[in-house]
Amino acid sequence: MTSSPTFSDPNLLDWLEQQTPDQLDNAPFGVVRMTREGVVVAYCKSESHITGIDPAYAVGKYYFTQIAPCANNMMVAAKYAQPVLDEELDYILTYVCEPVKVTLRLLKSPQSQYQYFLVNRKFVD
Amino acid sequence: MTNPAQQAQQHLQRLLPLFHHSPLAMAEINAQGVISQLNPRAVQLMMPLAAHLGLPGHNLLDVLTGYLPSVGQAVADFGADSGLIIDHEPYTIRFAVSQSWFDRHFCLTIEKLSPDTLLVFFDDVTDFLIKADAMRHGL
Repeated sequence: MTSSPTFSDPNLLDWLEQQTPDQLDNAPFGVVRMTREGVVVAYCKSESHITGIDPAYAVGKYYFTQIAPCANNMMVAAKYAQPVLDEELDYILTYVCEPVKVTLRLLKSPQSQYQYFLVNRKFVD
Repeated sequence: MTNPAQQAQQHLQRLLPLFHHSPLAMAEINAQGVISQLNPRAVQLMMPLAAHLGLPGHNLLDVLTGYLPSVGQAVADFGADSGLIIDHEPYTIRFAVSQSWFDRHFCLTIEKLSPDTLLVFFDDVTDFLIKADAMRHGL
């Protein structure tokens, strides 16, 4: 068993593509795996801990319209229209109604089967 | 059989989807503008505005004042402990995302609940104005 790569690992997309949904639960950051149409295929436990959303509820739904409308804007969701995407940005998500500071990494490539929305919680102001 | 505390909790649980799916952005901030609660629509609208100013987005008053200095002034000048500071005022904001410039029209309401609690309601009404304009020309 290989160890999890870091959030900013340049080869992270390749590693993610090789993981089963259960294996994604072991990632040290939040992972949302989506189809290219934006339907959630895997919503890992660490993501659930950040947002409070049950993985069973998220799977099968359109991520940016039904699960995370807070990221449905030009800054995040619209970026997935690009064929190649690897961008990190600071953002805010909500846990129930409380703001949570996070770093997002948006990943997609022509070779990847899925697209990914990764979340790393920021613990310092 | 549920007790009154459980019933109140159930009411709150039922209230959450209303708050989460509201098409209106809602936020509770303190007197300095730091956000204590907000809904997804507020994050969706605020973050591109904050990013354009190079702000982290945890202070809504800083974001609004960055575009609309009169909003910060209205909050600062409001002397009463509670009351409506701004009531459904229209504003136009120009900002850039990924090197593209956007002019968006916003509607903003700010109510002071207590000396250290303000509610902010806002929405991007640009598409609504376009539809309303088309409706007027169609009549």
